[in-house]
Amino acid sequence: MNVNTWLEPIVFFLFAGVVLFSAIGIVLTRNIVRAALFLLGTLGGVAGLYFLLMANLLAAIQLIVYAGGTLVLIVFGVMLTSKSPWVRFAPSRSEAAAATTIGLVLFAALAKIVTGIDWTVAAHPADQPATVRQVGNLLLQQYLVPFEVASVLLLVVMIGAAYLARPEN
Amino acid sequence: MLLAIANSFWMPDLDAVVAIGPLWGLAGTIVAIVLAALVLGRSAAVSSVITIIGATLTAWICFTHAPRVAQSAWAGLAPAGGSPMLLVDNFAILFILLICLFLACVTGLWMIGASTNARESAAHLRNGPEFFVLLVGSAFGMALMVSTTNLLMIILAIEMASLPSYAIVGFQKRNRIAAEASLKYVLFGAVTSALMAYGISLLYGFYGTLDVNEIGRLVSTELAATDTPAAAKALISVALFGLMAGIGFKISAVPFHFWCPDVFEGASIEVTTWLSVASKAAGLGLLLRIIAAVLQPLAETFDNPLSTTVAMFAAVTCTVGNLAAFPQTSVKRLLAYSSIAHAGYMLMAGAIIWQAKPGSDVANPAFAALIVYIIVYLFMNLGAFGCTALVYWATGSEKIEAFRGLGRRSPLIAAAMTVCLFSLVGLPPFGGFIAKFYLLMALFKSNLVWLVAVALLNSIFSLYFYSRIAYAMYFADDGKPAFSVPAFGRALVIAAAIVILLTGIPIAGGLIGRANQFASHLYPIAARTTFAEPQAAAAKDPIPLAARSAP
Repeated sequence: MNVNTWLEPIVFFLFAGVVLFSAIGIVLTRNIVRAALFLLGTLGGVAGLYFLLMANLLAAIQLIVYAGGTLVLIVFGVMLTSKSPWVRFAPSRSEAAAATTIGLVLFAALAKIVTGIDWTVAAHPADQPATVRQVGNLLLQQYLVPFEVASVLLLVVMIGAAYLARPEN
Repeated sequence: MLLAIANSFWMPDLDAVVAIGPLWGLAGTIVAIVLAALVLGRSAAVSSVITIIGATLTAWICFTHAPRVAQSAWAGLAPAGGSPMLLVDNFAILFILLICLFLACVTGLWMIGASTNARESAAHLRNGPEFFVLLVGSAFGMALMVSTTNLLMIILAIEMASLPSYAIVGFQKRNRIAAEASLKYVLFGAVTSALMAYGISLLYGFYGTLDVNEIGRLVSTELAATDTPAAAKALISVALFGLMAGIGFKISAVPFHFWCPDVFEGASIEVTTWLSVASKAAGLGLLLRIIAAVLQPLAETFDNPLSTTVAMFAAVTCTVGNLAAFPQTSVKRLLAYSSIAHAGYMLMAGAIIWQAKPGSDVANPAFAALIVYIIVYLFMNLGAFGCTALVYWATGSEKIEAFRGLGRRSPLIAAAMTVCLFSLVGLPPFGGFIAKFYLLMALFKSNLVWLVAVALLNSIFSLYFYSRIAYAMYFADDGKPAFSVPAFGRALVIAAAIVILLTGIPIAGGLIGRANQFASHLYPIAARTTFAEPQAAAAKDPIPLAARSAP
């Protein structure tokens, strides 16, 4: 018996469990830094799911951009803007009610839409050639122009950021 | 084997590299500014001169390109079979030309400000290279916005236009108002960008293509079909709304306009002038491309929800802009709300879907009307902001009170400002009237009579607050001494006023004809699946004579 057939569900439920547990943790915790840590679990778990789907590149990007960049940004944002890193959320009843209502409505709408649509599903991911190679080929051929434009964008933005961050003397 | 791999790779051919010449011009200007700062030292004067030369050169490239693309549009920069990344057609060339001319004007305005030693220019003078790299960078983004129909390029272009704009709004780091304006601009921009990226990812997930034309065709069939599930229709609407949020932010359409008054007030006046015109023109150019792609296939049914939605947005934007301008005391803020109102007028053109007769190349009259409007609007705002800048640099205030007695203190500036203000209202002898006239005619022809009524009512509203400035200039003299303004500044605003007067009557017929010619390419591109067609398009007469006649 192929090892994948019984290992795959176990790993899937492991990662899915991590994602769900951390997501609930984000909502329930009152400590903002702890919420950021739970977010790491969610984002990392999603990266694990991507690995399971053989989307290696997407998983790596998920780890670098979200688990790495975005999370650091959030933590820095908290540290720089609040007086103490141990800020506690204390949502009022009405805020909690509003958030719950919006969340439920959004969830219902998304669930209806996602289940109601015939999404195009590719062949089994494992049969596809390696994604890194494909993406590399696409970046230097079909998407060469956006790739180059992105580099001009980064140059200009870097100059702007360096100017704004530099102390005035 | 390496050679075989190299041969299998797609490389853009020389034609493609030449075709996107205007974009090279702007990108080259950025590189030139950076290199000059390295070699010649950090000099604001050198950077501003390079910017003017680069903008003029790019405008000249556009001129040399215009005859080449007059017969057929070009689209490409992707391997065979892939959807084209960049388009070079009359429409794009015209917008890039306008953006470059305006870039040169704004740089000229900056030079005048620097020569008057205004408080704001200190940061600009010390950090000239950074300022101009960011300014040209945003111009490059706007040029990209009008030359693509690829969703990925649209995201990149909008970011390229926005990110440097945030930085130049907050360029005076010591100024609290500027910093606050910049932060509001960033946060608002980030949210609308996120909405747009979400909408675009939905569209891509749904249709598996990034090409707006392809998506437009698919969307229209889905929306028209009766057996499409309601959930799918809802999803398409959400996705289109997200896409529109990104563009609505750029043109400051209600409800994405909240950043506009604060940013216009907080930024230095050159930057305000730049954002008020260039960012809107590029956003509207992009919007027209998307509307041409998405609405054109729906032309069989004049009364369709998409058109009505755009019309509602336009009517609300216009009314909110004009009503909010009433109580303003700062001329910069007043002009900010006026620019929101004008975005509303221009957005009205987006609601017009035109049923082209089979086999004819007649352009949508809305496109020609909008192009005329944008050209006139460019000069009206250049003149109005130019006059405000001159008054501000001379008196240190941008309140309406600063304009008191301007008719005596500086008669030429007051005259130029009056021309711009009444043209903004849309009164007859000026260009603004012609622009509004063509727009209203196009609306009328498309059975959008209620929108004509909204536009007319709004014009009457707007007469009140524009005349408040005119009243202050001529009838509320508080006896302050006369002042002189730099000769170059006077020349700039008077030139703008003269252009407004010229577009008002004698050459207006020619203007709409040219605009029609420029607009005529939008539909052939919208109807095209591959870019192998230019030869076929070149064979037939590009614009039938009938299309040139003014409405």
